[in-house]
Amino acid sequence: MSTRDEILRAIQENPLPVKSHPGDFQAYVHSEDPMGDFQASLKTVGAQIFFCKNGHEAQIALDGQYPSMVRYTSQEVVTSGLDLEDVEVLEIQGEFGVGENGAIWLRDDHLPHRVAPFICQHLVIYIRKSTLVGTMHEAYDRLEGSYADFGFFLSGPSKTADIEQSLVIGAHGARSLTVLVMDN
Amino acid sequence: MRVALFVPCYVDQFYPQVAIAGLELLEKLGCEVVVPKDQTCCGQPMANSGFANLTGGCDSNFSQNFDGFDYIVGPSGSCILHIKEHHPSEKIRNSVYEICEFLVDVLQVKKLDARFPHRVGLHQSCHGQRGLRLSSMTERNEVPFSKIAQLLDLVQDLDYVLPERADECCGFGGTFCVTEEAVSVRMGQDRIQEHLVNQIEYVVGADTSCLMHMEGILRRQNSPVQIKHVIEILNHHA
Amino acid sequence: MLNHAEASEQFIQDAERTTWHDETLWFVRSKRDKASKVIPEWEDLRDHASQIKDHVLANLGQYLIEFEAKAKANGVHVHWAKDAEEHNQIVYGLVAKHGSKALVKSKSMLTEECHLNSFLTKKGVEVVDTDLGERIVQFRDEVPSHIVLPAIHLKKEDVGETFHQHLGTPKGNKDPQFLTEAARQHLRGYFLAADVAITGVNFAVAETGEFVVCTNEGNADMGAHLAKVHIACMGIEKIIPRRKDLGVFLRLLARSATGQLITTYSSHFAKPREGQEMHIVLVDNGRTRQLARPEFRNSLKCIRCAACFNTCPVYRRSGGHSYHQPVAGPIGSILAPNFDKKSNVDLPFASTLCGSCSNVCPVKINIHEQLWFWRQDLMKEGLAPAGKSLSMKGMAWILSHPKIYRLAGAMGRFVVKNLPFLVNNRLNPWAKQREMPEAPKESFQTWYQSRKS
Repeated sequence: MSTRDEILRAIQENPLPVKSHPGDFQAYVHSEDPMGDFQASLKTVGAQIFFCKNGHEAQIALDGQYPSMVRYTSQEVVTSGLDLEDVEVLEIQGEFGVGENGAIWLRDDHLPHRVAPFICQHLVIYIRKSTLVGTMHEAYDRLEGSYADFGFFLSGPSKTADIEQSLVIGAHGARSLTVLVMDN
Repeated sequence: MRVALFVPCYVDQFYPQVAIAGLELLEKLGCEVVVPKDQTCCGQPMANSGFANLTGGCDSNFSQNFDGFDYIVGPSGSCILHIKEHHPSEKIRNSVYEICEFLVDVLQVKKLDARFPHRVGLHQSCHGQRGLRLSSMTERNEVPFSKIAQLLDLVQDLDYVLPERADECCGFGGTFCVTEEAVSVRMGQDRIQEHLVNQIEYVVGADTSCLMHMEGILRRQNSPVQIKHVIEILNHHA
Repeated sequence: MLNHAEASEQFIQDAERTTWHDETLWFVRSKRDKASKVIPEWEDLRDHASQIKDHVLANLGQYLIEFEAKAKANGVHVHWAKDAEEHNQIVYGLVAKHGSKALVKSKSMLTEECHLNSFLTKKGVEVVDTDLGERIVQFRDEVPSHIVLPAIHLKKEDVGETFHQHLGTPKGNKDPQFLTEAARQHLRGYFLAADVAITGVNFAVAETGEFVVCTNEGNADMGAHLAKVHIACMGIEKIIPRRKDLGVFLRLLARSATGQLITTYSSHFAKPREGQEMHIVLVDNGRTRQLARPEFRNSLKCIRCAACFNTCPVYRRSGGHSYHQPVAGPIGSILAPNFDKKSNVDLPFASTLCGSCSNVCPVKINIHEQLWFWRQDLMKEGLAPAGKSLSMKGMAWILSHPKIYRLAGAMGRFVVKNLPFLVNNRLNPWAKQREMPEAPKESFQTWYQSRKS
């Protein structure tokens, strides 16, 4: 018997009492101000946020944030992640943001490479104001039926507190995160 | 109201004043208090040591002493919890009360002739608090409440204060206090330290076993701080 | 090997460090409290998560089959391992097939449980742990002392010295920022060079065949997205039915673990990237055995947040290594006897049964009750230390006979020397650092009888 069948048989040998799935979580409190939450959350997780009416304002914000750094803006697919090794500032498009935790949903078909937002030194994400949701429940409602080969929630820059619980920003991923919230 | 007073073995032997206070207070509040003579122990020391199979004798002795009472009241949250969770008789499980719980929920005491002009640190014992739900716990997102504080609020001139970690275990833990002596004592020392910074004169609580453990440490430190069961304060005048 | 009590005694000898350890972890617990209390529906969320996990355990076989089918359809290779040995062989087989001599690994408690590192090292494969805390303990030839904060038993001076030895950082430099940067530079080289990356799995979604890995550092992603081969190792209990269920778990996980709103990265791996091989190893290693034990079954609901570690007053004062198991703390103490009863007989007793663990647990595992049940189970198996069952029997006998109990009390208070919790100890450990209670002149019952008459 294969290991697979052995394991499955071991499970089936002890049928457990029926327990139904509780369904969607309905009891959550709807936020009245997802944008306000988002802003506060980003602050908590150590990210910068700018509200921009247009691309011009975004450029000014970024020039201020990352003076004299090269910004990588191409979405064209690169075959090897190693080619992105020296990217200083990466600009990418986020799909939507989540108020309660500052998370932004990103998917690999909007990235030059899956490793791009991790290997770059600094990360810039554009999101549209209208995309914000309040909680993770609404986030997954929104993701229903939309499948990415690889997708992830990102909340803030890379961090660690593994040495004496002292928070250090910039562990292995991006050292900073700037979120540009664009008017629709 | 007819009440059977359950006096746990170590209270009987070491802290008779706690049982006396309980008896007097219940009588003052109009209860007819019966103290079954042949009671011994709830069986918890064996059960928590992994020998629940040896508690049959204690269980049946408990039944022989307390069968037929609607209210079995004792001054020890831990022993009461043990009976409530493990005694074979459903009637008994449903009839046991920790004494503060009994005063608040059954007698619904709203006023007391008690005065205790001292500053005391309130220790919340785990089995009473989390097990019997004598008060809300810091782990949970719930509306704060405390049956013990409710009673202490009725005592004149009493100043009580919770330590910074309002409901951390003191480290007694039954046999734990000897099998894990080092951790047990360290936990107790830490609890006491948190009480002492509040300039208190007594550590009070609703579980004599935790108090005994902390008293042992206090006395080893030659501290003037004493321990008292909540019930002694509720029964205190002068 | 020292048992928990002995190892704790050693740990506590450094009183200052014990204070630091206790306060640091208490601070993490406080952050968890704060994070949970701003969510009015927190207790409902815990309840919901618990129900989902109960449902999964009741339908585990079906969900594993569904997950396997979906993952395969996504182009992922699925392997099954009945135990640690088979798991390690599978991983080694994949590494060997690709001719790799080094691999990067992000945090996976499962691989710790299976002792994968030492297995691969013996086969000549260098395993580089990429989580900062894990890298630190790996340099020191230690194991993690905490499943979320692997190096929490160390001070920055220790880390500074370790990095000085292994990474050549200046002697005496103990600045966390500086040391983290040194590790970043050091590990980046491995990320860029590795052919194989191993990650753990936080959640595997039956509905879609994807799996989710959560980190703050970004090390799992750095490894997985650069390597030609990604191997994800998971216990079979990590399955959840639907993607939407992630909403519940991701709200609970980081808040319970560190008080964060969410981990920095919550990565959903569905398909391998172009040209990459992706493997999932589904591991039993005793889980089906635990599933068959009604009292202990729901320990498998654990999502490894370590909230029970941080709240445990014993863990905070004894350190993770005193549990001599890859998963320490209260949850480790109810998982360990499932692997081996005899060598873990001390762990269910390393608790005061205060119940704090069960009340912080985001999936509502009745941890302290299971500790109690394990005590019964282990004593029934005859694993009591010498003399313990005899003295327990003696005590039970005295306490079952009121007359003898009274006699014993009257005869100089048997209790003074033999308090119920003191039996079985010839050298009285109570009195080592505590005074014995003073025996009053009469017992309550004696007083009561004389009052009556």
